[in-house]
Amino acid sequence: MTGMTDHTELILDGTKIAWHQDRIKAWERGERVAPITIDMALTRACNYACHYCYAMLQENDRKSITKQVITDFLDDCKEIGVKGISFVSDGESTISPAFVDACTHGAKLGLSMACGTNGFVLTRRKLEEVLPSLTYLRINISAGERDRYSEIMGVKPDYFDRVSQNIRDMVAIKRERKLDVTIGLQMVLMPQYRDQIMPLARLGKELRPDYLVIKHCSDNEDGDLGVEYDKYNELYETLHEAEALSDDTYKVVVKWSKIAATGQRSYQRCYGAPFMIQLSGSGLVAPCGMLFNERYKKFHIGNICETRFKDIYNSDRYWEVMRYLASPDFNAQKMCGSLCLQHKVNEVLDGYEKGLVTFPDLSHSPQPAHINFV
Amino acid sequence: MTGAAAAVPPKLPSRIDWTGEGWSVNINLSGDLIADAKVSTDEAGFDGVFLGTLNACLKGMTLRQARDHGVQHACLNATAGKKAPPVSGIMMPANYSPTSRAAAKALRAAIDGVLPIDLVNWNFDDNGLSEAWRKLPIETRRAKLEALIGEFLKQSGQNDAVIVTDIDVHDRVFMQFKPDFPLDDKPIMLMKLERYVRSATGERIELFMSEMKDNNRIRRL
Ligand code: SF4
Repeated sequence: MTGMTDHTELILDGTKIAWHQDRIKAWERGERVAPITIDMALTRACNYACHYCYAMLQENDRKSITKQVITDFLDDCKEIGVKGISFVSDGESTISPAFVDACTHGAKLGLSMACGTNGFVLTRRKLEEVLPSLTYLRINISAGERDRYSEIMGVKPDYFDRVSQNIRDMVAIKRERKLDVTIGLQMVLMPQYRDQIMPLARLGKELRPDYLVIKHCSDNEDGDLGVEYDKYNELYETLHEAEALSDDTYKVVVKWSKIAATGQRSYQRCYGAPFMIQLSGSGLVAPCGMLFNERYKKFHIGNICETRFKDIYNSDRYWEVMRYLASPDFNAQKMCGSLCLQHKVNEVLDGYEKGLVTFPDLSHSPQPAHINFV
Repeated sequence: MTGAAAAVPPKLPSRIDWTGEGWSVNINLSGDLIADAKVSTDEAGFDGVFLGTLNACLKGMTLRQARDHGVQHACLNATAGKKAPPVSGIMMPANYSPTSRAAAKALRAAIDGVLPIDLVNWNFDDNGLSEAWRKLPIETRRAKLEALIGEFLKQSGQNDAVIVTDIDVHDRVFMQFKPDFPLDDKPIMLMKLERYVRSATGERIELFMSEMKDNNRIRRL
């Protein structure tokens, strides 16, 4: 394979959980299932100060993920059957000294590795080292113009130039070395960033990543970021205009399913967490990023800086928390922030449990790209 | 919260009687709510005690809630106080027991016959805090919760381990541990305490720690 056009299909607004029916059946039988995907960060630190940053709401006791900790963690993931690890979560993983080793070690083990980053420190040398190990590399960029980039992302205007150059370099390295990695841009859209939708879509067309995805902004249970979900519908026309800039090798994709959901959930139980958990850059293991803050201590399971992940996964405590979320003790409509990472998986599994969703036989269907990132 | 689109309330019968595959479902409705329900079977080998628990749980639910979550509630109630859960992974009607599996199937078939499946209007029924609890003056609710928390701490020999910092208008209880309380024990203690308060009140009270904030815009280690 040589690039995104060679992948069967890139699903950016949906879930690939239906391609993991063996694990769903085991879950339904009441067996302990290993996560298919783990989203994590190698640090909670960040060199940016984006205004929409959800990680600001996720403060918890900080510990340091060293090279040894992450190596043991990845070995454990392989052993218990995890398939994909994305370094996104609540910190800028690329600034961790363990970043390159973590990506290469994970890929050597056969895990699918991915990263979401602001892209600032990913200069050519680092990219050459890391790109061959990655399934996807996604740059968070929520503006297409220098000054607005500086305002929205809380950095000096010249950071925009450096990141644009890094994107050019990653696209060039991918092409020169015929790498399989998918390169994407991501805009976290607050309604007040509407003026940046078209400039960013055009910037993407010039820089030529595989895609630009435009997504809603998540907020916590108390709405601390002040996201005005009812204002998204005023942006639909501009968003359609941005999508129209797509061509054969550059896609502009709007996560309509979440933007149009106005921040609400159709389900009360959270079944997705065991299939897709999140770790904080502090090493904290919790069902999801929305529960990282110390406030949600009752959902905190362990810390990989202190306990091997395989032992955490096998512990009764891990399953006690997962069981709580899947029981009538819990109601995601009332007790969670808006539209978490696990949202699409939750929707599908909830429908399945209620007998409203059946899975087609996909054993002879072509697999979607990035299948291990559900 | 309201559903994704405006719901047109379906006209409900006052009684549902359904039979199929050896199972019967008989439900009396009082307005939108189940006044009493009987899910039963003549087949041998099913668990009558579980069905009794299920029938008690269904009382007071809407049909939609009974269809979607009734058997889940029964599974949870049936395991209350038991040391080990029946499965090592996630417990649900499909794996709790053959009775829960068959009862869920029968209940869904009976309700789908009178209440068409509606994928557009979501189920926002919530069994969180009862009307009776909400009607109590806030001071009374607070006093009750604080007394229960104190009781639990005393029983577990941890008298001054936790202080309640706030109980908000949604009855969410915020707490703080004393500084030398072992870090690893906090999550377990909180969950146990929450369970205690819930079983004593019968209300879905939520316990939280006080929020931790980092006021630096740039996050450093
Ligand atoms: S539904 Fe709630 S608990 Fe479950 S993953 Fe989403 S935010 Fe977390």
